[in-house]
Amino acid sequence: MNCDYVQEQLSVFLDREEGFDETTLSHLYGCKDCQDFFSSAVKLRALANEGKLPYPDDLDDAIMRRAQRVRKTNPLSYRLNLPVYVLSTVAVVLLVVSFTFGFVMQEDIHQKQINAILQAPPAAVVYRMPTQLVYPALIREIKGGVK
Amino acid sequence: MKSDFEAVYSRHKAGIYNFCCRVLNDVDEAKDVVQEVFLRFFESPVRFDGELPVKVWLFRSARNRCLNVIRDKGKFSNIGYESDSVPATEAVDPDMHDAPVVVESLLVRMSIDYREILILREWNEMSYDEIAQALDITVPAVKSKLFKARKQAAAIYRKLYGD
Ligand SMILES: [Zn+2]
Repeated sequence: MNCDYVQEQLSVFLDREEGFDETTLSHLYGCKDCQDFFSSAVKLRALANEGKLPYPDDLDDAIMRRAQRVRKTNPLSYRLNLPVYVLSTVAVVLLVVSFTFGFVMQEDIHQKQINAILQAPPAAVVYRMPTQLVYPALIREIKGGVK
Repeated sequence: MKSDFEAVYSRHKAGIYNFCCRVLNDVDEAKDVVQEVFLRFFESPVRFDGELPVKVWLFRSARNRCLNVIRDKGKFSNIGYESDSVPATEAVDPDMHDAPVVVESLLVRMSIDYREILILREWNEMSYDEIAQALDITVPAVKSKLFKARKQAAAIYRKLYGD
């Protein structure tokens, strides 16, 4: 088995990525070069874990200050973090929907008006507040009549 | 409540900063690049087309800026690395040094294309997919390059510190 191929696979194994060829392990047991490669790659990883640099505080201040300045120069701007094509699609859909529903509703209103005229009884209906007139003398007369 | 920008910034600032420092081997230049990357992201979200994950977009932007700095200054022109160009020193116990110094001595001697891919993997813990997007190469190319980068790093390490 080719050492370069095996070492590339060992690299994949170390990174826990998909597609590791397990058959290369049998080569590793008997090959000093590939063992050395693997141990140096592991050593490098340990160094990387140790050798991370702390983030400088002054950079936080500098970036936030500059960001504030940009925000102040464009106080009226409003950010929509959407891709342009999404916004265009939404605009077109809203336009189409508004036209479609506009026509349908207008049709509906016309039809209702026509139906109302056709089905209306030939009498006028006057809506008013319900009232009750009480004539005590008349009530007495009716009750006397029933008796 | 944090703005989107602040959330993205606090999540990725350390990774981008470490990447720039390692690639450029210069703290001040790295700081400049980090500022440019995040302010560009803040100022022109229109340029952020949403097709790339934010992390990949930021690293791609940082990488391009770092390469520009290197090109402009003619720094690290060792694009083609030669193992022989590393001066052999008497084997020094690397434990005598602190890790950042060992790391710096290794990376600064690597060719830029191997250095950047190794940093993305080992310091920024990016997946092969993310690296492929950040460097605009295929995943098989990432596999092959990473293996070669590790091989180069091992050779330099042996020269500097022995086995
Ligand atoms: Zn081998």
